Amino acid sequence: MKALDGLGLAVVAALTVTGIVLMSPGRAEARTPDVRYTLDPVTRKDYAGFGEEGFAALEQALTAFFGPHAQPTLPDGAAEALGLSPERIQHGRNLYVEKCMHCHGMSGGGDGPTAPFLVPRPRSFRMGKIKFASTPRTSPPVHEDLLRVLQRGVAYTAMPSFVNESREDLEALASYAQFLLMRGSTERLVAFVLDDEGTLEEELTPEQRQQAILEYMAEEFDGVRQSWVDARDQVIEAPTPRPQASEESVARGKALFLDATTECSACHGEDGKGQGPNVYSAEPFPDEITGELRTGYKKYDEWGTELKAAERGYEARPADLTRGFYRGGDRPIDLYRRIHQGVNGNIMPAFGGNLTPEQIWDLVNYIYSIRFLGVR
Amino acid sequence: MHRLWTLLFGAAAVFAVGIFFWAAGKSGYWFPENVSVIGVDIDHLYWVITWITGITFVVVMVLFLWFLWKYGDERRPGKAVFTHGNHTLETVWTAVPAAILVFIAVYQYGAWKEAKFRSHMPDSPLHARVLAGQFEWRIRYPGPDRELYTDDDVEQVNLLHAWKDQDIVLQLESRDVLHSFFVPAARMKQDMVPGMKQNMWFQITRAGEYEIACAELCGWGHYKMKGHLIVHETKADFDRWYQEALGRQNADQRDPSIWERGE
Amino acid sequence: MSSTATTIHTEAHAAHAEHELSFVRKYIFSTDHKIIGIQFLFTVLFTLGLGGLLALGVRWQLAYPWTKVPIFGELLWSDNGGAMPAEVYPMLTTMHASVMIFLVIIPGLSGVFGNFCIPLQIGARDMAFPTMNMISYWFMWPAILFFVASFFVTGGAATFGWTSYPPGAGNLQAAPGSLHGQTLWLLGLLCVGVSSLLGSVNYITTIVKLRTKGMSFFRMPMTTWALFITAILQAFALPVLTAALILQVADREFMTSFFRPDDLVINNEPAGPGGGQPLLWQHLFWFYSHPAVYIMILPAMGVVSDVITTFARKPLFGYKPMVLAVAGIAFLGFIVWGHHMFQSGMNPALGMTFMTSTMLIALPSAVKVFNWLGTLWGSRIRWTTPMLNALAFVSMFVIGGLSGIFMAATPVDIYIHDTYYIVGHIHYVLFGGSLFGLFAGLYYWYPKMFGRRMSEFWGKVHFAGSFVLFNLVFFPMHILGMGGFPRRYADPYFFETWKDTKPMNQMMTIAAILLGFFQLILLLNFFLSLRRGEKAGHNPWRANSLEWHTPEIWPGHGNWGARTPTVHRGPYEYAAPESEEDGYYPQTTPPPGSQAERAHAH
Repeated sequence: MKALDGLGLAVVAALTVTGIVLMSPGRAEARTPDVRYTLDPVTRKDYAGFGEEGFAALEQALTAFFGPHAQPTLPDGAAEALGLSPERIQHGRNLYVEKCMHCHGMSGGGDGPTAPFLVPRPRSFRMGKIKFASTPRTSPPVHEDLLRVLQRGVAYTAMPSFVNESREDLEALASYAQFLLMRGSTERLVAFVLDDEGTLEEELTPEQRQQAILEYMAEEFDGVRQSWVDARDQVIEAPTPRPQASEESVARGKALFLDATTECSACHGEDGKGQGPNVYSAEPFPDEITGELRTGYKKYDEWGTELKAAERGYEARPADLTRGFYRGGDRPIDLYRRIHQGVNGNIMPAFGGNLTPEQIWDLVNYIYSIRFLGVR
Repeated sequence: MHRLWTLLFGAAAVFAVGIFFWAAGKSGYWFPENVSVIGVDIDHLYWVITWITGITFVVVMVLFLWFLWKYGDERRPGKAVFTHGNHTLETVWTAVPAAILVFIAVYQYGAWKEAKFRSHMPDSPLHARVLAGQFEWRIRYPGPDRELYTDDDVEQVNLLHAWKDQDIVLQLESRDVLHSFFVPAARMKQDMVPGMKQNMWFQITRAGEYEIACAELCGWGHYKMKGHLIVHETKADFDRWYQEALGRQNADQRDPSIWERGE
Repeated sequence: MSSTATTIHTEAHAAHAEHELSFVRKYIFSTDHKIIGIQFLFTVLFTLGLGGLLALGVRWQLAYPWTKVPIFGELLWSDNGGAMPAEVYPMLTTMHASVMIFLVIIPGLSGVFGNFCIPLQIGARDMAFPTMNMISYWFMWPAILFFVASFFVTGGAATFGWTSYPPGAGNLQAAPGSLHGQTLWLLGLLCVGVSSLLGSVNYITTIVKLRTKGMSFFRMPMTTWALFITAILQAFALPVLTAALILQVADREFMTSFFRPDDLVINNEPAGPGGGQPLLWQHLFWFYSHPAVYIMILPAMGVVSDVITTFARKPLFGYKPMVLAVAGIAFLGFIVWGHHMFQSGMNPALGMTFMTSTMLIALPSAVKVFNWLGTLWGSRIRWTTPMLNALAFVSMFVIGGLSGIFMAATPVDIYIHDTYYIVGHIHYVLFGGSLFGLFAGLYYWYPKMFGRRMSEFWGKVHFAGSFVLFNLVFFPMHILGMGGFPRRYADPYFFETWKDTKPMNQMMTIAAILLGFFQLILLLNFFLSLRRGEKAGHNPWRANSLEWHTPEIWPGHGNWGARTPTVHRGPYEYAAPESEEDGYYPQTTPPPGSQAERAHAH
């Protein structure tokens, strides 16, 4: 028994020492989360013909072009062109892994482990667009848009406000979000081109294939970069200031809201509560994606449509205009832009082409007039 | 020499007392510096209880360790003392702690009333309504007309502005689950229950920025509910901020400033 | 003496030979209280491991937030780089607390010691309702299965704390774990409740009706007393919890609205019909769960009183005040539940009442500590493993008790409510108190349970390691609490106020992991001693109380052979003038010169 005790003591001592060594600050490396960029599930689904080999080649090229997760880089001086510094992107990535990843996902696909339980779902950066931007619907957002969302959060959703973080951190996060957006749109464009050109079906050595993909990637990225640079000059401005919310203006706005050509009320409902006949039904209807009969919101946002995911959180839900807040911001200019360009990635269309600025302001005045009806 | 075990128990007691001395004044391990009027009372009460319990602890532990050491000596001959207790002792050590405990309880009443009784709520207008939700504080100031949900309201997320020496009266509400409004530096905390309207009031005696935390588990993002209480030096400073915030909230042109908290 | 024992033994054997039980009836679906107690013990060792692992998950996140979790990270959260996602953290805290409270401490104290000790200590042949006793044990298993299964359903286990406050816990939309994990949690708790209720009815009846000749109420050992009063507490408090649990299940699954206020929208989904009041749950829950805190500590106090007197070789100082103190705690335990709700929005005037009653409940606890000190005074201490654990209980309970006064004081509670101060306090009471009490009882009665002794050496290594590491893990929580460090935060370092506390948390985590290692020593010691431990004999500790005076070392069904014993005095008459050299003077020895003694001598 005595010998056993000696052996046991040695084991206890060994366990203790191992425990302490394992936790020691020197082993911080081993604790770094094992994150990596994965391929867009939509690409995988839409271009299944690439085969695993093709996907691997595409993934490899993306890593060569944009760097691995630990060292994200915007090539071709894009960072400088957009006023983003590589250090900021790097810093932003580190913050992202801690604060954002569990919702927005390792690759920014809006598919982190927490995401399935949120309504609405966290934004995916893979489409290269965000919902609430100040730029035209077809253009990428600008740096300020991202900063604004980071600071205000998205009201009444799981996206919290980070307004109390340091400016440096906010800038870094906004920079990294831009990196993810640009990487995402490039990935999709390259996949499209590769499919179009049939590059992956050609008889090529692995090196040649890499080379070909990288060439396309550089080309497509150049376009993406240009669109981001251009977007900075395309911020929507109201040419006239907002007029007084006179009774006449509100009445004109109301008429527009209920009008059959704008169809605002078809989605937002005549009472503005966001359950108009076009989008909401208490009667059973066949689901857009699965075809099964169900009730509730009828349509899905772009992310749900692309993924063919008929799940909680992907439905397009028009804003309830009577609850005193708007997800895209409360300022008149926010509402103006929302009506002008719609909600990117969702079914709210752009009215900028159909309505005059004065008409938009009338609508804004009307919407403001009903904004607190549902809160008291 | 089994009675050396006494040292282990002694070491735990020394550690327990010692760590307070080690921690004194260290950031995070000690009270954040108090900035509110009620906080003075609360800190005082805390130290009163600390002294009472601290002395009790030391006395009990000294006796405990002394007995262990003395009667833990295996060479001590004979049987233990044969006694079933002592009536007088029992009476004394019931009555004395009872008196102390009742004293502690009664001594707390004043501060508690001051902090929570509606009859002690200062007679000043509602400063702001705090609406908690998963996972943000939406803070709405009623503005000059003192009424919520009118066009002169300012609403901000996670930012509560006030000024020094103001009787800050807040209305606390939750829109989904339980939350709790906690300002460590002001020693104030109040749960927010959906369907109920609570009031909270306090006075901050120093201008500066203090953190607001959520203290009632509200879901996966509980730890993300970080707000800031920004106390301006004077009411004029606050009003200036309010006008600026209202102006920016009514912006119908591109806002040159991208920083929500002002330049 | 020995010849009598042999005769009784033979008789008993003859009587039992008629119905030899099958293995299954004897060891699995047994109705023998001793077997059931041991079954509880094995179960609790398993759940203790489970709860400990969950705690280490919590500690990991606090020390190294958002880093790869060793071993489990890769397996569970590969889509998050092996780091713990934010919604898992509250799941871990919730399930750690639930497992430890409902599956370790309550069954560990009431289930193990209640079943094993009560009939032996009062000279009964078995529990009053042996079959009910068996059912009580088997109701633990659905609870364990529900709790474990909840980790594998969509959304994972319950996340809204072991207190399960609605509307968070009461609505499916509030959090991932508010999906079916929460319902499973509620069902699991219902099963635990049924188990405890069956047990407590049994204990009360057994103690009232089945005491042997001469075993008056005031000759019962403190363990039995404490378990008796605990059982009464449970019998009165549990129905309320059971009702509350059913109401919350109904709220969640059948859209009733006991706890759901009007127009509630959570996570952008309407939650359901309104009209309820969330605070109602808190009242109902704490009406049970505050007494539950005493259900978790009183039996340990009883065990510790038995252990201390045995190894102090001295009568318990103030036996009747000790009994009255337990009864006082039990009574006051019913009128203090509101002190969990000082900041909840309950009328603050109630806060003052509850503060006063809460202050008073510190009194019986203080009396108990003073009486233990009195017992130690003038004693002849024997430094055995159970004694060390019992002494640890006393010294740690002093800390846990005193820190409770801070929380009872309403204004101070405004600040420390829901901070680590509370976490430190509860661990000093439940780990430093109940768990060390459980260890003490385990080492103490192990020879009775298995006829062998656990290794003293390894027992002491386990004790020393656990005691030191326990203090390193939990004492710093008090100073974190002074800094306002909030509970249930996955990342407190997100706040400027608590940013600097990481080094301390890392130290606590390392200590916690080592504390976990040290429990492996207990497990090894426990299982190896089953076969290889030193043979214990009838009464290895030379204890007076009745359970050590059975005719056989490991008595069969029926415990006492042909005749139940006669008791002549209280259980703690150590060092009486008539006692043997080491103070030994068992309850069964007739007083010198009495008729019984003369009969005994023949």
